[in-house]
Amino acid sequence: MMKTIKLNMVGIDLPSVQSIIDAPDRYANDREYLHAMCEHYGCHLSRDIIAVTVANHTDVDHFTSEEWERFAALFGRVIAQFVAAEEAGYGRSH
Amino acid sequence: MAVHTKILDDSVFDTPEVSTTQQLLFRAWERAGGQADERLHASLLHMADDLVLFGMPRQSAIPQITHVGARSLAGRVMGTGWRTDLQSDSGKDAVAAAYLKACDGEPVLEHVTYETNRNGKQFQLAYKRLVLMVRTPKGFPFLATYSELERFDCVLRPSASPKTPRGSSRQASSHVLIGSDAAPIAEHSLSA
Repeated sequence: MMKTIKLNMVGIDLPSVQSIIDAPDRYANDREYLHAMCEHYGCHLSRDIIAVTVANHTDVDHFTSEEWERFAALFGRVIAQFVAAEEAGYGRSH
Repeated sequence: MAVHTKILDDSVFDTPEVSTTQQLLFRAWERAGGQADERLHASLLHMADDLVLFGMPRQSAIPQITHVGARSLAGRVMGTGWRTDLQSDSGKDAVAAAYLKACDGEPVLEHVTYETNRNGKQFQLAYKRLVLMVRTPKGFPFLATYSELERFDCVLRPSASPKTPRGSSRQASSHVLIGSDAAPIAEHSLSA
């Protein structure tokens, strides 16, 4: 399930797709994966915006299952864009 | 669909040509050096319903939408069930120019005119769009845009109905802000 989600997120035109297919899952579930990616990219603003859009608050741990599903789908798009940006060389400025 | 854009000179930020909200957003961004520090984070979060966010352009220089605020111009025109892929638009190169410029870290204010046909109706919008590149505290970039509508026209094409007087094609035209249930334009791409 994790790999399916990650593949959908990054899209099929990136070299990282094969590495995702080949790599062992490092995260126990989608929640862990999205949390780790949020910390890696520092995209807490985007996370909060999506959270407020979905549930009117930013306490992701207290989302209902429906809220979480929608949040994961939308925030997954955000993470995918950061992955793509990093691969395109936009990386860190410092 | 047709999109025409004109990137305005940077000096426009010091003129009344820029709306108060766009001025405030630009100043907050400038003060933070484009980095989403605590204050800019709070400002952008507060304005989230008015913003459209994108990832960074790659390959074909086309960024993908990651968030459409419900009160944003794009949200009001097309709803928040957006598409993320660029359609074959006649003005996509012109639209992409603003994003590419913003990718250099420059604030971009552009004047956009947008025309599209939907269900026999022709829609024409004119608006000013502010495009800013924001970096996360970890240094990774994304794009934030804020648009303000200047003009919205809906033009009905001549109907074949005998009840419609010949030649009265311009049945509706108004310069009003569009509401949440406005025209169902689903062909959105980069003109958010």
